Amino acid sequence: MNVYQSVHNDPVNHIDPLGLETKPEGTDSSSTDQSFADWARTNNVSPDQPSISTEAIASPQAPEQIHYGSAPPVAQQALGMLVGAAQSLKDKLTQLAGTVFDAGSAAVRAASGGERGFANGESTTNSFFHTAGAATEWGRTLKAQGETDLSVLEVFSSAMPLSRPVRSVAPNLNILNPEFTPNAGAVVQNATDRWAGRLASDPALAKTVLSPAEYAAAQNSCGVARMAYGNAVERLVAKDLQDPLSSTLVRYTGGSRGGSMPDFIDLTTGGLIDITTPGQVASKADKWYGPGLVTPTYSRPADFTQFP
Amino acid sequence: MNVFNNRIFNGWNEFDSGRTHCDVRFTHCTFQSCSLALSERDLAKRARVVNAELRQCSIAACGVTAVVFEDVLVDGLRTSSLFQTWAAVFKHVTLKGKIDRVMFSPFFHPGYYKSQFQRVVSEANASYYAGVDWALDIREAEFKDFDCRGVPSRLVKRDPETQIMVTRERVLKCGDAIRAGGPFWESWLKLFVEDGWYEDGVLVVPKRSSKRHELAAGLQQLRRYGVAEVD
Repeated sequence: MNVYQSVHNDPVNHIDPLGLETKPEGTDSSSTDQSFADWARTNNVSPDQPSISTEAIASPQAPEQIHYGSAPPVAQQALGMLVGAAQSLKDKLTQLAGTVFDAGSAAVRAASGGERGFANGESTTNSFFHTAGAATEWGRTLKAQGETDLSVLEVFSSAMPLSRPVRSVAPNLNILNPEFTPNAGAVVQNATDRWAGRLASDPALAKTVLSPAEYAAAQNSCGVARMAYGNAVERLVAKDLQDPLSSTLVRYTGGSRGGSMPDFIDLTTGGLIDITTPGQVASKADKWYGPGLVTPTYSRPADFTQFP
Repeated sequence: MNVFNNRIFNGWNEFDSGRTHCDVRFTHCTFQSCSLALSERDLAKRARVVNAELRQCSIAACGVTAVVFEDVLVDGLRTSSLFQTWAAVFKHVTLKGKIDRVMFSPFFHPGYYKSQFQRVVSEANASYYAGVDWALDIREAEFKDFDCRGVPSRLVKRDPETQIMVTRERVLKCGDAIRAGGPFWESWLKLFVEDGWYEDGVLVVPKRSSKRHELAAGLQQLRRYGVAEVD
């Protein structure tokens, strides 16, 4: 059985962890927030967080809070310890990798979809502060940023060569088959098969993901019903893939921003994934995102016309 | 309160953190492909958003699951397609201004709405709402589409002219009177009765729909025929 373990919650970071690559053309409006990055990795991070009990959920105050703008002393002290540990880990990673971070690869452009004109596709990650992630900003350089500022954020990234999978340099990973390469398209296809099958056997499932207005429209028009069926499959798949592991493979885009967006982006290759019916595969391939598009397919039941 | 203006958050994923995010305001920000979600079946790891404001923000392809929202203001929200929250709970959450398409679902995962864990989630959320004086204030919201499931309707502050409350018990007694509001509301009420997922609901006229006047008139007809609960 192939099992792999993610060491970060966004593999885009493995390609351009600090967002140092040149900003892709056509993304002038894109940016991420440096102050947010600072907040995420410094002042307001409390590494040692108590878990919230079930009872606490119903109480007005949770035991651990992240205040946007203040820096609890305890958190700062704990952060100092974390940064120290991170620096140590960074040194070890650097030794293991035998290389230094090089932001010159163009891989990020393909991975981010920047050449395809995504409005936001260049953004690397805001994986938050659980491990080392933070928002990044295009245009920063390693030199300009300085060693101290990189601190925690750098630890999982700077030692990693851009062209090498992260698993080859990270120590102590629980990998049964290190040659295993996840196939995001196959993952989406499997999920599509699963939920299209479920929907075919239980059309009422669509009620859980369509609004009453959408469902009502699909009860009155065959054309609308076909679209709604596709929306239901897509939303079920997207929901199913909303978990820490799947989120390292594919990113749901919603598909409709500006009209011509694929449903998912393959975060491991930068490929585009769009769920469709077999009859629509050809027309999808002719869309502006062109060849290379992966199209997981589903089929509606032959007797489907409208929702019940 | 920390303020973020004109920022794009892309791929900000936080799963099972159990954290509380508070005292923050986002203005003219975009959230793209972000997740704030419970993934593991452990309610102790729900995230919280407390004392937060979103003003004139956009949200696209984001996942929000089992989050606790308290003292939150959303003033204007653009959405890509239908923005859905799953099994989230709300306390003192105000939606106002122009808001596109939003759906609050009681399900942890829509594909497993009959699961055992769904019952656990439903019980936890019901317990939460037992201590809430009001959950949502949608009086000043102008929706394109709004579907509010799983939030007790008595905890929703409504504009009585365009937003009515119905209960399954009353709708079942009304028979053909549910047709009084026109085909859209009839369809809505049939789904509501058939599903049996929740006992009451709020019918909201999408004020930004071209059919808003017709739909508002339909609600008044439902009120006249006794389908709507008395305000």
